[in-house]
Amino acid sequence: MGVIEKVSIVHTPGILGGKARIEGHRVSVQLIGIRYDLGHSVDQLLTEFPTLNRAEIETALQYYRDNRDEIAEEIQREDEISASITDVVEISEGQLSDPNYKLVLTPADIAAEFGVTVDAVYQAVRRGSIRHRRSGATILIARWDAEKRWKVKSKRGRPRKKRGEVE
Amino acid sequence: MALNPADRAFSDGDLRRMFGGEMPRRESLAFYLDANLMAEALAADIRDFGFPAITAANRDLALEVSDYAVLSDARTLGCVLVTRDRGFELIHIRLGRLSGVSHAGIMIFAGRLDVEEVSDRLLWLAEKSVDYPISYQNQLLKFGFK
Repeated sequence: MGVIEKVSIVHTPGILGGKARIEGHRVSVQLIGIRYDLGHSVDQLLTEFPTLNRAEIETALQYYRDNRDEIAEEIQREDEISASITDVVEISEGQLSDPNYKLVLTPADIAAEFGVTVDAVYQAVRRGSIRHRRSGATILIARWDAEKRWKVKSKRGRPRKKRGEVE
Repeated sequence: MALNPADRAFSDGDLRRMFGGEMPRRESLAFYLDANLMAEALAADIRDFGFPAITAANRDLALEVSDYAVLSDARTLGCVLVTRDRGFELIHIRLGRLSGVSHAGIMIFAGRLDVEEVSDRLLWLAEKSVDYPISYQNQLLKFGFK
């Protein structure tokens, strides 16, 4: 006689932010449901989540179907948190496909892209007010650090000048 | 933003112990893959291109493990955490408000992206930042949500 496995859906503070998940795993019901809604079959989900068995995936899908409101609330809560974050970097499909898009910039790159002078970048580096790395004689700065510092536009549309920075 | 019960389980002192101190420096971007990705296959794919990749399962942290423990373990290894769980955004916010703590970077991929698309993006990031892997420290990146 076969053994029927009991699969539980649980909410644990501290694991996946308390979202509904399959007990014993760091895989949320929400994620299984999203993949299923994209047209993935249970067999495909078994390949995508190799730590889960068929009973666990089917239980997650049943929970997903029976508790749409709860899952929608999870997503809404996550959207609200996302909206409150100001320092996130979201890389678009266009940037991914642009062969000239750089993540690591030199002072000359920053000058060309953000409308500041190379000297202004070197000043920030000398003062230690921007993260950077030296590679030989070259200064390297992450794009997101440069954006935080120089991409902020003033009311007139010009890049905002930092205190004491000569352009 | 109010903290959820999960956050209250860790005091600021706990977080300073878990996320304080020196972080190992790596020569290239290194990835720590959460259990909600097809982690073993993805790790093999990334390693084929010469970049380090560790899975939560490699570290025995794939199952009943808190989000903070996973992120802290990634930091211990100097790896950027790669996950599909947006719950890490709240952790990023909380750590950002605390002095003397840091994480090694968090990359969150939308659930709609296939593992091949995740792999392509990780390799793109690794190749684009080959000169400067440390720049992911305390950085939150998201893919596929726009």
